[in-house]
Amino acid sequence: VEEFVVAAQQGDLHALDGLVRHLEPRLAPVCGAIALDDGDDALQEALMAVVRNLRSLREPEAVDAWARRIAVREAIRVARRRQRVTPVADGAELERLARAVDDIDVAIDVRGALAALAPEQRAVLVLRHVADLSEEETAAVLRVSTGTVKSRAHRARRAFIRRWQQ
Amino acid sequence: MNGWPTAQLDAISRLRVLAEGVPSGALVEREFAVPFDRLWTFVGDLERSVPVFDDTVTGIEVRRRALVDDGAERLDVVATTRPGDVRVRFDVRLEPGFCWMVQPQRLYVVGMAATPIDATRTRYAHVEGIPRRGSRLGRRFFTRHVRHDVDGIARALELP
Repeated sequence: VEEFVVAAQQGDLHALDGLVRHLEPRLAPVCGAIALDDGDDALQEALMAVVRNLRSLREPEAVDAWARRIAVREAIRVARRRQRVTPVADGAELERLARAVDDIDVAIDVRGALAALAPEQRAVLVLRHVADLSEEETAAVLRVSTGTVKSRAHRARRAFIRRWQQ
Repeated sequence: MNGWPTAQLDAISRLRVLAEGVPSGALVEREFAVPFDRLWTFVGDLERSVPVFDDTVTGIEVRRRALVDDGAERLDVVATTRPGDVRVRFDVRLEPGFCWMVQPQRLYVVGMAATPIDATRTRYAHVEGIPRRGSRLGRRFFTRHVRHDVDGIARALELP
């Protein structure tokens, strides 16, 4: 992939096509989980931003993480633009259940549960549980503190569980 | 991961993404009232289609074609253009609904893509341009040329 990046930066348009094909399956889950029904648009916008900004990438070996940051930003932007966001309510019993569930992948209706979250909360979940990033790495991608990642992830998990119980 | 929503990039979106890499290029999209198969059977047959819809091309010769790993074809193509019968080589990636024709010295690029809207309608996108910064030919020139090509495809398909 580094060869694709360097060649594409030098104007090789087949290398650019190869780079887009490499990034597409890596960014698709990020865009899908954050922008939901607008995920396809988010993926297109993210890859367009990648191509527009490719010359500014100084470390070709870091292209996946760099493109993922762009995808998260674009997916949140698309989701904010297109969707009405419903804030998530808190509750003591959800708190208790959240501690009992370690693996959110057991949620039956993931899409429905994600829809109850704000795009920023979805971003935390997808980075932590789909991209397998640590709290520190997630915080770096989102440019927030690890404390914010923790609280967003906690609220998101509780909302997941609430939806799961319905 | 099972159950998690994901996103898709269709052929038209792929072409929009790649068009970002051709700053002077022009992208034109149109909806055709024909099924996808009918449109792509014509467009994807480059030797037949390009000289019909692009009146600056008098002939297309496919000199070599090979399957690549993901099922697409890689073609070595020579286009004869007018005026002057200039022969221009293209390295082409061709697959159902997507064609990316790159002149190896970065003199020109042509991209074509199609996705079905439903059983009777197809969205088509076409981009052409010079993939170099500071090209003297601007987007306005290419927009006119690409519209002319897309009109040519409509005529070839006997559409109004």
